[in-house]
Amino acid sequence: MKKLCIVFRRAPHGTAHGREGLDLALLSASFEQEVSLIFMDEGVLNLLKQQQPELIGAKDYIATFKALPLYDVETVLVCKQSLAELGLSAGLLSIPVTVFNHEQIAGHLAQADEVLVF
Amino acid sequence: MILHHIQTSPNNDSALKLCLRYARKEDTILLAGNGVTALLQRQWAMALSPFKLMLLQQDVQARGLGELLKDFTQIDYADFVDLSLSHTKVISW
Amino acid sequence: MSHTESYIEYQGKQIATDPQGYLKNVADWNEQVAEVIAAAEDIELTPAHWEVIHFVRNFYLEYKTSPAIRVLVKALGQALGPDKGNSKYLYTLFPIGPAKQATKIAGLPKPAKCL
Repeated sequence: MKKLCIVFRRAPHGTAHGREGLDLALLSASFEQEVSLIFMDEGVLNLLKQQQPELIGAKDYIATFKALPLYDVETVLVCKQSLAELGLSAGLLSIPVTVFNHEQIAGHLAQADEVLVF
Repeated sequence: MILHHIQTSPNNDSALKLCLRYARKEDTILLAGNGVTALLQRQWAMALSPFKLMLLQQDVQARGLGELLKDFTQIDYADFVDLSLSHTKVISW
Repeated sequence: MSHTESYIEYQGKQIATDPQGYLKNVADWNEQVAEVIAAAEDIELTPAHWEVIHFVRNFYLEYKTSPAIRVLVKALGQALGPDKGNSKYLYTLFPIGPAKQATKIAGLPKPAKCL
C-alpha cells in the first residue's frame, strides 16, 4: 500500500485538472492505496459550497467530494495561507477538512510515497 | 529530500510560488521549460537562492539565455534522471 | 459519428440509451422503465432488487457518481446492515455484476470504473 498524496492547486471548472485529480483519488482508494488530498492556492475553491457547475456546461464533480469518506479517504488538508489569500475560512467549505500551515504541509509532502499535482 | 520540477514561468502560473512555499532547505529545485525565465527576475532569483538549484540546459540554450544564466548549474536529461533517482521523490508542480 | 441511435421502447415512446443500454438521460427513468431494462437483462425485480436499485440511484443523485462496487458494498452495509452489505448478496441479485447491472436498471450512466 502506497501513500499517495494528490494536490489540487487550480481553480475548478476552467480546466479538467480538478475532476481528474478526484478521479485518480477515488480510483486509487478503490485499489486500497492510502490516499490523502491537499488543497492549496486556488485549488481550495474546489471545496466552496453551493457551486452550480452545470450552469456553465461543466460536470458537477464537486458533489463527489462528499463521497470521499465512503472511499476511506480520511486525510483532507487545506493550506492556511491559501485560505487567507482568498479571504476564506474553513467554515465556508463543503466537507470537513484539516487546516495546515506551510510547514505542516511540507512535512506531509515529505512523508508521502508519491505526490501528484493537479 | 524532494526534487521539485518547475516547468512554467512564474508570470503565468503559481507553480514556482507554491514550490517555494512548501520546499524544505534540503530539497532541490529544477527549472525547466519556461520555468528558467524566473531567474531573470530579481525577486525570484532571490527567493530561489537558499535552495540547491538546477536548470535544464537545453531549455536555457533554446531560449538564448545561456550567457545571462551562466552562473547557475545546468544539467542535461541524463543528469535529470540521476537526480530523480538520488531524491526520495519528484514533485512536478 | 454514428447515426444509429440506441433506445428502449416504453409505452410507445423511445428512450435514448448508449449502445450498451444505459439511459442517456438520468431524468428519463421511472420504475416502469426499470422493469423494461431489467427484462432485457433477464432479471425479475423483487423487493430486494428494488432496495438496491433505489439505493444506487440515490447515491448517484447525491454524489453525482456511480459507486464502485467496494463503495456500494460499504455504503449498503452502513445503511441496511452487514447481511446486505456484502458482494455475495449483491451478485445473487445481479449475477453479471452489481455495479454494472444495478446502475443500468437504476437509469444511471455506466460507471466509469467498474471495479
